[in-house]
Amino acid sequence: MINPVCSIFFHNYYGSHASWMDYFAKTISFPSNLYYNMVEDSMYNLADAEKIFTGGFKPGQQNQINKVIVRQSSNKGKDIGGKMVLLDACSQLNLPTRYGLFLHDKKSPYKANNTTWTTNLLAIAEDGFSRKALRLFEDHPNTGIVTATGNTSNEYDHGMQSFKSNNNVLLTELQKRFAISTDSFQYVTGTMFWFRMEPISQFFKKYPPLQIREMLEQGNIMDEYAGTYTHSWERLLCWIITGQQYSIKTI
Amino acid sequence: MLNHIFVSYGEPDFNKPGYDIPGAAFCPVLLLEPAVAALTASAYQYCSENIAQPFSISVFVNTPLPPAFTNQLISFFFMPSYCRINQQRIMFLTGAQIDLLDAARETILQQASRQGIDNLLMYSPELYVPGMAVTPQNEAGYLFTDSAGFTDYYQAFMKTNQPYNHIFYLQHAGPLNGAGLQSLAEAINTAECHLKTNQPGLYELAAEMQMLLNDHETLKKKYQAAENEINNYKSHLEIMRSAHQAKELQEYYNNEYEVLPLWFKRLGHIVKVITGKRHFRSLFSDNVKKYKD
Repeated sequence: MINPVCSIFFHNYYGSHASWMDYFAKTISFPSNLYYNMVEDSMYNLADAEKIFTGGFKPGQQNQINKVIVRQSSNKGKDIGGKMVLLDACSQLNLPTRYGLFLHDKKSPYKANNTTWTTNLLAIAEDGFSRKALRLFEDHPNTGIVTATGNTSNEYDHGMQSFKSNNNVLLTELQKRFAISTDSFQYVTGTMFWFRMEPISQFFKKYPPLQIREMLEQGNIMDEYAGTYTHSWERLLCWIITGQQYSIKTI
Repeated sequence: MLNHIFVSYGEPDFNKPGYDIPGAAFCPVLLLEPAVAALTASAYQYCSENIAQPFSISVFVNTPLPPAFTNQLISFFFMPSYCRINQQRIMFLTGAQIDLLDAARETILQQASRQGIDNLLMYSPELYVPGMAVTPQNEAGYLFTDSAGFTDYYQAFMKTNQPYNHIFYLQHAGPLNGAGLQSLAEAINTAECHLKTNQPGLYELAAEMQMLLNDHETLKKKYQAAENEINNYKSHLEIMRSAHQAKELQEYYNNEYEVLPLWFKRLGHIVKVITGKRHFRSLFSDNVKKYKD
């Protein structure tokens, strides 16, 4: 078996596991381990049982997925909480890969342009994009994150020396608490991106993912009115990498 | 099965083929010792690889739980194959020192709760000595250490007036091979068949009760999930009604398009037709498809 190049971390809230497994089997074109988290208290997952994982999917047969590692968690910290569960599994199983890919079944029903946004975000898993992303990592050792053009944002106001965000106070607190220091406060909106595993692994060796998950809010929390730890970590996940002298590249 | 039977057997060797022999009669239990980190790591690996095999965990507590062990333990709870009874994860704590057991229980419950796992069932059964009373209890009352002692007890238990929906834990002292596990499963079946033959009405009711309890818990969970989803949609609507993207879009439309003179807008539609973005006939009729896909 070829050593997997990539760890895919996928968080599922809206069910349809058979479709998603089909998607990964068809889309992923290089050897990968798939970490798949299901929200156990989601209405959609209760209806769509997880039986697909007990015999329905044959890793590595006609696709590039070497291993499927399934986890089931409560709805804590939304996709960030799910990704922390998966990062914990990755660290416990010690299956090193060079690169990682964060994905989730984003819908954001309260956004006016949600479908376009989701399509753009998911496009990063497609074969053409993946190959370009991996090439960027190989050719530019300082590239830490790769995402699609238009999926990044920067809320830092240099004049005010603060973030134009409801999460301003929490972001400052968490940066200090977890010693995350970065020159650029650019981050990937939607938390779907390619990344180099090394800086992520280094950070989570020091601060276990489940320890971080403890502080995340329960339920489908939103930051429209007040800051949340969950949305702050959405940004910090990028800064963990850029804080270790890596940059974000868009394609 | 009328009851929930948990069995751990022999020295765990998760690399040995056939560790996962038992059938539907009982759920295998992994024995973990906080001081042996390698054992926990190999158990984690084993369970990750065997996702179709349900399992539970028993921790032997003879020292305060090291934080690293508790962290590893919590990771098991995220596995879909972790055994649940009526939607609740179940685990066992064994050991002789009550204070250590209480402290371990508290630590695990708190840490699980911080991960959003609030329905953990933890049992610390009392060591069974032959001759102890056979009584229906709502928890794992005794810790059995040999399969013969357990099957004797189980046969007697089938004759009590409430022989269903209980939890039993057999921590077999020596290794149980495939034949031993098979005969244990048969003994459990025989005891239940005895009840089925002698008191068919009670047996049927007990089986029905098991099923209904499970359905009840599942429906409760579905109800809760549906209620949460309705609340999510309420929040989404609230956001959409307040200062939001829909409003931003409307403002953008007003500022960029609505302010233009009518003749200019009409000219714009002709330009769309010329550039192939709009069907010509749609300029004159609302019944014609307007835009090309």
